[in-house]
Amino acid sequence: MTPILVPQLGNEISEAEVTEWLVAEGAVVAAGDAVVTITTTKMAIDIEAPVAGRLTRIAVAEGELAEVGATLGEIA
Amino acid sequence: MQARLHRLGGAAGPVVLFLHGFGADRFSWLAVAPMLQDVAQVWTMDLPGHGAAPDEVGDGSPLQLAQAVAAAAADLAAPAYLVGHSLGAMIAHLLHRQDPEHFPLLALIAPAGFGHGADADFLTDFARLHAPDETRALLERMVAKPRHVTPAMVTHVLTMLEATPGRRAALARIAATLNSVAPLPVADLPKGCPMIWGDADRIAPAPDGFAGGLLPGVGHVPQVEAALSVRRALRAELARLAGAQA
Repeated sequence: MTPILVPQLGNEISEAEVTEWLVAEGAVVAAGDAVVTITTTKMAIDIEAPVAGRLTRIAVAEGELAEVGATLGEIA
Repeated sequence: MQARLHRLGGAAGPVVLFLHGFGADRFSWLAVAPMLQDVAQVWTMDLPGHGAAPDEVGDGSPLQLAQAVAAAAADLAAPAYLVGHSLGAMIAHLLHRQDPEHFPLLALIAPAGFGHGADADFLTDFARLHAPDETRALLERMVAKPRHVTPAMVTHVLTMLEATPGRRAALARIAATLNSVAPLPVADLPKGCPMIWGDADRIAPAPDGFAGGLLPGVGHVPQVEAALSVRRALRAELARLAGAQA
């Protein structure tokens, strides 16, 4: 199981909002596919799948906030 | 005239300094620069008249802006590898030509000032933005897919324009100067460093004769629209440099 994490966003940004899951739970993704868009107070950032596999869990729903390092979802 | 240096992080590896484009600020690298902290000492900068930097911009020319960047970067260990976007790429190119040992280029992204030059109306209109709707419409000219212009980005730009009484005049000065500078021929593009351009760039499109590849379906801000591709290109170049020094 590989987590999809909120990446490092520098030392001035500590959290982001999940604005859109680009793939559905259960979908198969390739490594590098954009899977979720997060939005900081500055801009939107697409987060890519770190590995190939199936998106088995969405941990943070659209509209919710997540801190840097938090698990957004899981790929197995 | 001052640029404002900002340390993002990273304890080891080469010093890399990111230079943003016209009307942007250090946060425009949010989807790229922080993720390189494991392989580089990462710094960003606010150009004069942008972000947290003062509004004094001199004559607004890339040359004077480059002098301010060099002064602000004087305390950085040399060499400081430059990554520039649009106007920031013009400045990186100038600094590199003046002192290639001190300022090697890591990559240029959608550099302004080559071929047909930049979209003059975009530059002029930017400093006059007031309403969210017109701001969104102008920013959408920068990207291939409108979803990359978020309400947060619109708010950020308008907040930046209102940040100080002199901000709009500073940007108008830079815009007027940029619009009066004759573009450089494609032959002047630097050799030996990655050039990252989108094939849907409407602000500063790749000039005729540009021999490199173009990112498909990407507009003027690849570091936002195709952040993964940009990160990969920068990581590959950093790995190549590390290999060359080993």
